Amino acid sequence: MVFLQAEMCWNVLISAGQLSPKGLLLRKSIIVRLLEDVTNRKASKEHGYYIAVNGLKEISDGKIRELTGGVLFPVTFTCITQRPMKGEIMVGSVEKILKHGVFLKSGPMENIFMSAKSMSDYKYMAGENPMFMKDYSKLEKYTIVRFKVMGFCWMEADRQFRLLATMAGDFLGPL
Amino acid sequence: MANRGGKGSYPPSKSGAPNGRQMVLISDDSDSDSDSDDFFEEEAPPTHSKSNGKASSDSLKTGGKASSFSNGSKGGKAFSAGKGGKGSASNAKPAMSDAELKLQLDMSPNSILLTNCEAAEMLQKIQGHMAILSEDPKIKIPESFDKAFQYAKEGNHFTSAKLVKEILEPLKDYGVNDGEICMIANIGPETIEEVYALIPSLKATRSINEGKIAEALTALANIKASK
Repeated sequence: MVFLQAEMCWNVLISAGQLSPKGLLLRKSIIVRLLEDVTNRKASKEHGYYIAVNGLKEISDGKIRELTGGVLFPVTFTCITQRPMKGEIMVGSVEKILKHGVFLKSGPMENIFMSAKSMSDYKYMAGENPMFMKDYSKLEKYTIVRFKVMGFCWMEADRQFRLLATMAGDFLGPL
Repeated sequence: MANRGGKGSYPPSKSGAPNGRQMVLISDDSDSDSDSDDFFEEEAPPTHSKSNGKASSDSLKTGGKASSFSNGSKGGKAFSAGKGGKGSASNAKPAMSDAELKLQLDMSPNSILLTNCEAAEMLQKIQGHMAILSEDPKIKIPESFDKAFQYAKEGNHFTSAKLVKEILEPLKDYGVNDGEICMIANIGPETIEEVYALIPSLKATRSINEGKIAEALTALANIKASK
């Protein structure tokens, strides 16, 4: 997954009770609320996983919401995000080994699947400690693997990505 | 048992007979499960990845190439034994397409690409403020922060992001785009062959950039962090 620094503009809702005539307290409320919103949203299809807000560009004029009395502030900020890209090379560790493939995790991504067919030289060895083996190379739990991203999809319900990985290629495989 | 007729396999790439040397990358949606459809339907419409018209057909031909999605690659070159996945000719058809899959950057317009070393430095600064931030219970930090920071630190092979940028920036004049530069920085390759194997899109301009990339690798080797 590549890191991105994305500029975003979100609407931050400050409830009436948090409004303060003192400018700095209001600013603090907006920033705290923004951080809370970023944490709650976790990730998006467009930007990937939200890692950290690293800059505040502008807080525009607020708009009062008539029914609740809260105020909506458009906030422009920069955020470090991490998003998978097709064709990129990543490094991850093996989490689970099944007959049909392995599950890997890498950074915030925990749903990376690598099919056994992309590890055609490796043979599945069942047992208490299942693994894939080839000559003297083996893939077992916690093995660090370099792989290529073949594709990914965004799961809106879970708000996370699922990746499809391959180890078929030169310089890919267990490190 | 090489029952590879595209049977519910993730890379729905192979439909050629074992004997025929044709690898047709067709969306095999009849038998692939919905998951693999999802992986490829999500894709942007087939892009530019065929642009390097290096239709060198060696022993493996990638005929047809009606790839309606991701694997718009063409492979078709002899491959050398590497760390993984070297297989025989008939088994290697999916391997060739997987290995030749090119990087497809899909960024929103207001985004800047960061290398692992740049991200590690930025996140390190934020980590430095974490002690103060965590005193206020109202301030929330995304749960991905720790994992991403760990990932950036482990993926950072160099001592200084600024130096990496200085070394790699000049490659832009030699047909290397931002995504490829980012990949080189993130992978931390040791040899030129590794670069071209892992970033196949660079092969198209190999004649232009090979020398410069080799120089860059030598310079990067000097600033590699010891791990």
